[in-house]
Amino acid sequence: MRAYKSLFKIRFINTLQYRTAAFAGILTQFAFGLLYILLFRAFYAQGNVPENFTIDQMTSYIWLQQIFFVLFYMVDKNPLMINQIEQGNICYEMVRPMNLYGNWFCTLYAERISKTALRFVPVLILAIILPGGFGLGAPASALNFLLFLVNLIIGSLLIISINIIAYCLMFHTMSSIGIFSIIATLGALFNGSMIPLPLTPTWFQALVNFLPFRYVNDLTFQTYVSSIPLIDSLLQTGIQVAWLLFFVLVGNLWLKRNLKKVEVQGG
Amino acid sequence: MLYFKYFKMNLKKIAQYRLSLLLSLIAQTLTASMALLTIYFLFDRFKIVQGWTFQQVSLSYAVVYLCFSFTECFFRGIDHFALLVKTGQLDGFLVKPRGVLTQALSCEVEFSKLGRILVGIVVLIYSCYIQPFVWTPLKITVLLLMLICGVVMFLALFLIGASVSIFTVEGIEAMNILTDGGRELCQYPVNIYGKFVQNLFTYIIPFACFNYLPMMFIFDMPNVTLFGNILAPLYGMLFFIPAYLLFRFALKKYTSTGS
Amino acid sequence: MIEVKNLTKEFKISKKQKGFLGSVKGLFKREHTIKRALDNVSFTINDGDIVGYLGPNGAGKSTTIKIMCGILTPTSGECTINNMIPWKDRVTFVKDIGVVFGQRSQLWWDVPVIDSFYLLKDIYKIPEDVFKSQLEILTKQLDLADIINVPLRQLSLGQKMKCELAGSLLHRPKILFLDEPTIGLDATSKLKVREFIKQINKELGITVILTTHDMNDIEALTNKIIIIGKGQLLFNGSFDEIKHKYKNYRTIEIEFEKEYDEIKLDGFEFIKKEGRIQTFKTAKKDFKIADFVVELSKKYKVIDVQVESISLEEIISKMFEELGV
Repeated sequence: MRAYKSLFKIRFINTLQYRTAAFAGILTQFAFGLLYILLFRAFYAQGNVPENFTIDQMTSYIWLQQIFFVLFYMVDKNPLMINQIEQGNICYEMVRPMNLYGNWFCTLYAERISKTALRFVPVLILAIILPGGFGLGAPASALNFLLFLVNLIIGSLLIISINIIAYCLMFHTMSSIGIFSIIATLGALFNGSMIPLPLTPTWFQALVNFLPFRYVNDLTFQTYVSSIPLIDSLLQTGIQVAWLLFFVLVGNLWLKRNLKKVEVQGG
Repeated sequence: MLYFKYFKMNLKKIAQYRLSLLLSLIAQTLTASMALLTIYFLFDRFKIVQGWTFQQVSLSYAVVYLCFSFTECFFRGIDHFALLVKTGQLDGFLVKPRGVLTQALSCEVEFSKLGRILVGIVVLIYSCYIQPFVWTPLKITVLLLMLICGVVMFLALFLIGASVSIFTVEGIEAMNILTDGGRELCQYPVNIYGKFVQNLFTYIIPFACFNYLPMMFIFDMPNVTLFGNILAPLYGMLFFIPAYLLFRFALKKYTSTGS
Repeated sequence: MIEVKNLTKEFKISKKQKGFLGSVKGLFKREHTIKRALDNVSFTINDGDIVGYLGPNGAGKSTTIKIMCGILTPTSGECTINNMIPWKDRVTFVKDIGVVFGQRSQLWWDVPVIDSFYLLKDIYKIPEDVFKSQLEILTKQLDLADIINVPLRQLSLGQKMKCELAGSLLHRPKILFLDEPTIGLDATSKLKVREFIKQINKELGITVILTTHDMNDIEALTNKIIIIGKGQLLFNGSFDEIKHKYKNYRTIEIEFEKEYDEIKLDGFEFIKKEGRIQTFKTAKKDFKIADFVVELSKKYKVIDVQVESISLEEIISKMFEELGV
């Protein structure tokens, strides 16, 4: 456990160096948050507003998306890991007295957390102080907020476990570019990044319930704005945990199998 | 023309990475389709936005997406200008007896973006087909002008981005907000966002010149004028001039500081 | 003919401000310091010279090269090359020069080398017959026949450098700029590259200007050396001249029959002691080895004395030392 702790620490500190990049990111997040809110408000002005997703809920939903953008974006392209797989240098990782899955999980998690730590406060502040119904609203209730925090943590772990599945796929295509963007695009649609899921047709909402992606972030945000009843949020938190366990298990097994193949190839 | 010689080289280059290209093509096609699906979802629920129907917005989407992807695909080098500076390729251009802009425009083709272009073309044709009115020769001409203006417009934005990347590395992201944000926003007619955004994208960065304004004419909306709407794409292209001058200025700055 | 007169180049360096607030402030107001990369540098290079351009890192070497290639504009001073001002008539000027930047390529990474050559042909608008004959000559001289149809990324460093050289000579330039042409190459490739540079200089009369950290390059190739440090011209002359100036600097290694303590010799500087062997340095003008051994044998039991004149590498570092660079 100590090894993981220090690995996390070193990755965390390393990423904190990129402060200027974070500044630009903050601007982007803020601009795009405003942009989407403007867009959806234009549609909301037509009436026909969904009952469980008022204009204020929508606004909060969008801001939460932007605040936690780096925590939840679909595929984190870690150049080091990509290089390891593409060049076959992965075999060097196997001489370390550390489980590779744990190593990767730790690395990816630390990078996400540090990137988020750099960005989320400024975007949060900007989102809160925005006047005229454009800002982030308070959580629906204290209970909602508590559950939101739980969802946030499980969701952040879930996205890492999905990410590692993407890297496992990479062993088979040997190229990161295409496979990552396919996953990123599909994920963005199914987790509500392109359009908040409560605004999609009923059949689509039913569909995404069966997929893992919305449990990464959509559930978290919907718990905050209370667009689904609290009891449903609680139930879905169970599903969220189940997906996490599933992907950790699959990722572990798949990575082990992939590594065996590398060994055989390497001779 | 030098561009086509470079193009041939780019073709040879991608021939080496076929699987990667195929997957990227699929990904790009998906991305473009998803963007359209999002628009469809919104209209499925709200039916109409500020008087614009799905048919009309789909045309707007097609024009913007097509122009952006076309520019991004065939003139990728200018979009990647910051990279050219960083890797020293720009120095390489400067010791060649050809214009720097020509070389920057030609040097890279991003074939995976053909996926987006494909979706753009399909949607454009489909959306022209489903419009309830008759396409007169003038309307077709205006549509073509819109497409040309769109490409020129994005080229100009890339040029501004290239210039910015010479002055400051940090500024590039801000520039991306403008190009990517502009592309996202202007898939819809800009008047739906209210007066401020509409003015911003009409007078400062004239995105409206190649979709909102001329589209009002195509869709036979009221209060359309020859100078205000039909000829708008022609004004839009003028945006290239300040962008080019800025690029010239930035290049001069580069040769005096070496960045 | 290259004439550089009072060339000065100043850079404004903006101070990075610390912290988030600092970088926000930096967007609006920046503090500058002015760094003088080149300070009143003048020299001339004749047609057909091979010139070694030396200096420690950050001395202003690449700034000078960039100005001479037309990439940079100087702050003041003149630079005329073949009656042209590089940064003023850039497009016409660069037709006559070839440039190889050691660590970056003008050839395409993923494409067979020959295709990159064809592209260069189009970029330089080289006539078909000129291109063909030039390619033939270069292929032969550089032994490229087997590698020309292979993508660049599959070639070794030495092969890549040979291809870069060929690529920069396709349009028959009159001047060739080489920035660290032998960096990272193995011994055989280095020799080949040197031999080739000599050959094109001799047979085609191409003026060659090269920067390098490898003194063997300088010794083997150049007939003229220009040394700069801290942006100022330190030396401009022939290789022999510099050698002559420092010819009295010698290293002397003495092997004694038994181990002595550190020996003090008048006019000699003690360097090190390894068992029975002690090493000294001297700059004595009238040093004669025979007299030295006779004198020494009077006091100590000497087995062997070896005298080495100072290497070019040491001369250069000595020069930098003396000039406080």
